[in-house]
Amino acid sequence: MRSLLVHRESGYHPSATRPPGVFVTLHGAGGDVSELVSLCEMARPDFALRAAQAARPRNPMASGSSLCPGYEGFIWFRVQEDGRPDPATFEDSRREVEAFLRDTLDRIGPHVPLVVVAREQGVELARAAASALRDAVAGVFEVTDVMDPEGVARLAHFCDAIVMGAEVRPTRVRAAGVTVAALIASALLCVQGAQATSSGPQAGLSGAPEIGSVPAEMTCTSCHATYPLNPDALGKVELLGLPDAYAPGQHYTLSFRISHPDAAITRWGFQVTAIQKISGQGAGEFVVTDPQNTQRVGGLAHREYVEHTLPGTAMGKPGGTSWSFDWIAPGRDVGEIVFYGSGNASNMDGSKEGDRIYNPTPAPLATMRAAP
Amino acid sequence: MVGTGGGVLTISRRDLLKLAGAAGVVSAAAGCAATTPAPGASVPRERLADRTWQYDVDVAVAGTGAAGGVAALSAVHSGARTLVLEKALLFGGTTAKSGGVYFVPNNSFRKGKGDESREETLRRMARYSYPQLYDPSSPQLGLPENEYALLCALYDEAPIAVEELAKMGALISQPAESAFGPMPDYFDPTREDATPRDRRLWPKKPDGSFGLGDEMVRQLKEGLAKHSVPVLMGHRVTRILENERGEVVGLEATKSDGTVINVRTRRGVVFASGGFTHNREMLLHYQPGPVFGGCAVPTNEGDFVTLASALGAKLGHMGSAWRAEVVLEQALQYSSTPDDVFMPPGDSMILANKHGRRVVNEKSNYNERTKVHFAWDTVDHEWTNLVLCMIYDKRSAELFGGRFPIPAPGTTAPYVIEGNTFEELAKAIDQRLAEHSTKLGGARLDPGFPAELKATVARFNGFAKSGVDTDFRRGELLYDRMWHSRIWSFPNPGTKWPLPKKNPTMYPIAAGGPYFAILLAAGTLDTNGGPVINAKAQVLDARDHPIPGLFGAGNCIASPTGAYYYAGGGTLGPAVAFGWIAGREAAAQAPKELG
Repeated sequence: MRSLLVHRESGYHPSATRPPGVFVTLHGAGGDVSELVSLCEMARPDFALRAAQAARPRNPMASGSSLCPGYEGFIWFRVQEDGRPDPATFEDSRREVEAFLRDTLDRIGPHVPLVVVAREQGVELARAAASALRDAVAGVFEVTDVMDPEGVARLAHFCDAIVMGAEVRPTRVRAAGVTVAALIASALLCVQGAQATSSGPQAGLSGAPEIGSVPAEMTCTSCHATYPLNPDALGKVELLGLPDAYAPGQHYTLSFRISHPDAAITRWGFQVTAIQKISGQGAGEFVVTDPQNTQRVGGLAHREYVEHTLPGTAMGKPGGTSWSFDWIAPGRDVGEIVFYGSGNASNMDGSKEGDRIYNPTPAPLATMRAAP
Repeated sequence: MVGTGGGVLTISRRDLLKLAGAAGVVSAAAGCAATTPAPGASVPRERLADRTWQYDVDVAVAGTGAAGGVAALSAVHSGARTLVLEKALLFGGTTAKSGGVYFVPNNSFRKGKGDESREETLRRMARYSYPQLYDPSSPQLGLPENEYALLCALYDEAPIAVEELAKMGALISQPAESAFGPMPDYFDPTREDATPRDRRLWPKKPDGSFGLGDEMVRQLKEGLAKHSVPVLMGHRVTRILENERGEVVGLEATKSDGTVINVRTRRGVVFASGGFTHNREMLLHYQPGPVFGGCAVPTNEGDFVTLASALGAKLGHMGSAWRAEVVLEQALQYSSTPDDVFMPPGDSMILANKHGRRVVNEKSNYNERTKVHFAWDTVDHEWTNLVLCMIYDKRSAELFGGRFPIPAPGTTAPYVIEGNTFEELAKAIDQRLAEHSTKLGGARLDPGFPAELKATVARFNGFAKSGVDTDFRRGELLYDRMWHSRIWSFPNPGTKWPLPKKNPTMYPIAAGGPYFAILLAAGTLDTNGGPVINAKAQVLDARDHPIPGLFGAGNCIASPTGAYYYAGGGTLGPAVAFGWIAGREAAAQAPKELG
């Protein structure tokens, strides 16, 4: 499938030297092709750039122009009453963006790191569409404020890290068994294949937003991408057992519960992490108390993740399931601690298709402060 | 009624129709790609009294677009306990994504502005909706009684609806001419008339500015909330329940998780659930030619056609639609087309068919222009205009880029095909058609396309120089010139290109490339055929008797104005009028018993 998206392209010519990287930009609702171009050009003028524009005008009467004040620009998808993306228009755009990323790789070449710079609706799409291109997309940079004076420097820093990673990628990927981009950027990349995911996802899929200098994490939709994140209001995820405040060094028994009433959903997965809200560093320590069903993995910024094992996916169980584990609070007051995590309500077809991911991000699952 | 008299089985015509309708349901539902159960169908009679009713209301309304929102408010205005059901999880149906303009003849804003009289307006409507029947000397202008009564109802009731909705604080209107100045109707050629009467209305935002379709549904939704009308989102009506006397007394609705609820409706049910743009099988069976989807919301799958057929409703205008051209490749790739080609932008631009010939006034309105795609070639036995190539040069690309579907200067659109000569362009177009051949019945360009296109362009360029298009009269009508210049083809500033002097819609196409082409096909805003209503918005059965308790408005019914699009707002105007009538009349029904 060829992408039909209107786009702007610069910094690339087939006969010229290959650029050190390429940006793909995905604007926010009401934006257009030019929304994120200046930011990218200022951050890395040496990168090639392909800026995409959503096909759907905010209103066809305005057709993206200034004909009707207040109706300028384009949207990627419509938004339901409950705030979630409308599945039909989301899916249209997800396929388009995925095709656009593929077209970009075909055009620029497979070894040039591809950085997706996205805002608002564009972020949702970047995350969802990247699943099919997990070996090629180096990272997603989320822009919350186009006017942020530090945005250029932060994007430049983000790209520096990716370019450095890309240079060593051929060896380190194989040596470490995990892709460099996942270490550096937003963990867009996921473990290959459904079996591997069933035995527990890789670190860094909790959906935590960018905190401090630690980049935002993806959710499981980076691989389980049939549906957008939180595709309906029926699925629920909860982290239970936390008091409002933690006492340093104290043990807490927690459980992560996921439920969905659809009888066709009969397999479950999860991942949770704890983060210091000020620094973005990991907070405390997870203790596996049910090794049959849960496991612990380490990640960036001293973060720990507790997640399901293969037997822990509760195969054949309808309605929902929960996992229990302990968490030891940090030995001293580190300020507010936030827990992020995703749950996967799976159709048990053995593939990553047709599964539904729930995660309240950007809101955390739970927040704790230090006990006074 | 089915019964035995003297040992002979007698089946009334209505029962026959019910059986026929039920059979039709099965085939229609088969093509429906819905995830929830297809609506329908005939089921064994049961004791309605045994049911558990989750809701018990006077009036239920299916749909939250303009027709549904207005119908519910109208029912409330008449004192009915009212419930609204919406199949989608988005409020507002296709109205929410529309321009939000509603055509209201005789509206109060036009008072004292020298408008046509009631008789003159009815004559104009009759002439354009039913040209083959039109007889100005006949009391009903040559129209059958019901068709005439529907036009009268539109004229008489639309302004009342607008005024009452404003009084309720549920929809505040303002003249659309306040935005771009007065614009001509689509059925008002006004060759000689320089001051069009603009009867279009637009929602007025609280800050006084004009809003589009989203503002219209925002106001309607707020009005429903103000009057405490419950709105059940994600509830698809899947069955209409009749009592033994054939009166509609309730509904079954199915939620996305498969749960079924029962709604007891004591006085009436109003359907305003949209057309069948997204039901491929209905499009195939009912439309007069190939339709490549459209911009109606994806939930518009013809549910009311199926449900009302099972009750013996008479169907009308099933071959009709509010039409618009779409970019073929977008239509093939999107679940509902993201944008429509209201008027192909550009002056050095033509539409050419597979032979390289112009076939239409490119600046005529979208509803009329799109019909040309259904021309049948009686020699080659094919849809000769299945795909029309919108061909333009660098001038139009730079001067009008950014007006859909021409991409803005500095951007690229993959659906644009390029060539430096007509031969190159033809080759590239043909290659693109070949890529999609399995979805186009193998349609390709005729080998003579490049030579014919050259001749076509030479002839068009002559028209552009003289300012007179003797083939299709492009730019002759006020509509062409005003909608071209003010809306769809206002030129980008800062380019070197001179503008046409004699006819603003035509400029000679350049003698050299690059040339560009975009493939256009027939789409819909939505279809507008379905169960036939009378002037009280009651759904009629095949003998023209109202089905007690069943009402309809909007694009789910047989269009009260036929296939003709009178003006901007030609679809929402009647939706507002008949939505208002339907809600009021449903509320006025005597209560119906289950048994």
